[in-house]
Amino acid sequence: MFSFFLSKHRNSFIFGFLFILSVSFMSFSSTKFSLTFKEVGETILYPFRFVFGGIWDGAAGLVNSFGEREKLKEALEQREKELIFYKRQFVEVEDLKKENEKLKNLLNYKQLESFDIESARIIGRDPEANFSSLTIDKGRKDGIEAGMPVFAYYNEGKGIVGIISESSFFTAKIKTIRNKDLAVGIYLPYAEIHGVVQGLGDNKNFMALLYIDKDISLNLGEKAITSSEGDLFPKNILIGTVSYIDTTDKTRLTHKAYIKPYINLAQIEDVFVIKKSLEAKE
Amino acid sequence: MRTLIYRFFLLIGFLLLTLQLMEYISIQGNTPDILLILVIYISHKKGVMEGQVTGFAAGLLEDIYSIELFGIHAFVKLIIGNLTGLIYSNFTADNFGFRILLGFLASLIHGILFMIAKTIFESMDVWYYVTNHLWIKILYTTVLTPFLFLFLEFLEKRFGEQ
Repeated sequence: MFSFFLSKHRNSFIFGFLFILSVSFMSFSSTKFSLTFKEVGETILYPFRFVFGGIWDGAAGLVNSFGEREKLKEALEQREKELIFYKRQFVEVEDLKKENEKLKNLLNYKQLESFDIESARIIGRDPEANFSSLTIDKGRKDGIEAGMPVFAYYNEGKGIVGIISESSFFTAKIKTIRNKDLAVGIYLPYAEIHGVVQGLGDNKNFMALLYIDKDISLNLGEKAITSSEGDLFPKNILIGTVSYIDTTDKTRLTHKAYIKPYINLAQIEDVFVIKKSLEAKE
Repeated sequence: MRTLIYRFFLLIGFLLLTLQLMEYISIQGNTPDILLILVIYISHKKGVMEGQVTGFAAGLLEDIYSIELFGIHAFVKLIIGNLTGLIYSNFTADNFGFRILLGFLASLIHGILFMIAKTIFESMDVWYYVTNHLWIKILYTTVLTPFLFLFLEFLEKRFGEQ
């Protein structure tokens, strides 16, 4: 019965089949229709792919996590080593920077000075004698002679250290401004008065301010610079500040005051010896 | 079997002609649809079944090499093959004028179905297609139909069913 029906309407069945087939082709190929062979396939396979992919990823993640942990541990150790290495490097770099800065300053100082100067490093101190003398690593071979003034940079300022008292071929000795045998002519710009300071020795960190008339008012903290009247040091180099004024002795004609040196002799490492003043040269 | 092989090579031959030679005889880019003529010839001579199967196969071959929507030629030529087969079943007339009319109607219906399918499944500037392509294609195919029928009859006598 069915085969009879089929054979009777064979043309229609074939036509129907081919019709559906051709329409399907168009449907699947059309850009207007969202369904394409690829999309249909992907849609059918998506759930399987999703489940399988999830299981796979989970399992792979679990397996990888063990290896990953070891890798992370190794990486961490490596980073720690690197960190230590870089820390050391950093410290070294910082030291080098400081050293470089210091040398640069020395060079700049030397270049900027209007004097014929020679830089020198302090190689000996005499703390027992209140830093009354210092030894430097330059001597006659470098043109250092006795009587040459010495200054240093301290806290970015320039201050008097002393004068060369002795000079050997390779080294020289500085008689510092704390030495009681050294007297330096000074000028107090605020009071507009010239005077003299002299080291006290005896473990005192002060210098005596001499020959300032009592009629001249002195102020604590006033700066004392080298005098233009003296020929020992170039003018306008800082010596120190007025730190103490003794007013107890009313009979005195001059002030009894003390200057605290600007330079801390215990802290400086390099000094500059003025070999010849350019002004004097002129 | 021989008929099947003959039809197969006929289809391939007409397809190759369409692909290779038609551009040389095109009018403003429009070529006669010789595969359509082949389909209506076979449908006219052999009936619905052979007509629709040939139509589908010819269309499918055309689709493979066409940049158009895949399946659209198979769809259109299937219907043309079926309809022409129905004509064969109901009319026995077969002369020059009838062949011209057959060619014209087949081309016209082919064009209409093509536009409908194309509009449904993609998009189409129908007016542009009608004014610039369809009428030329219909005319060209219609004119060529009786001559191609004669050629196919000749081939049929030489290589087709004895």
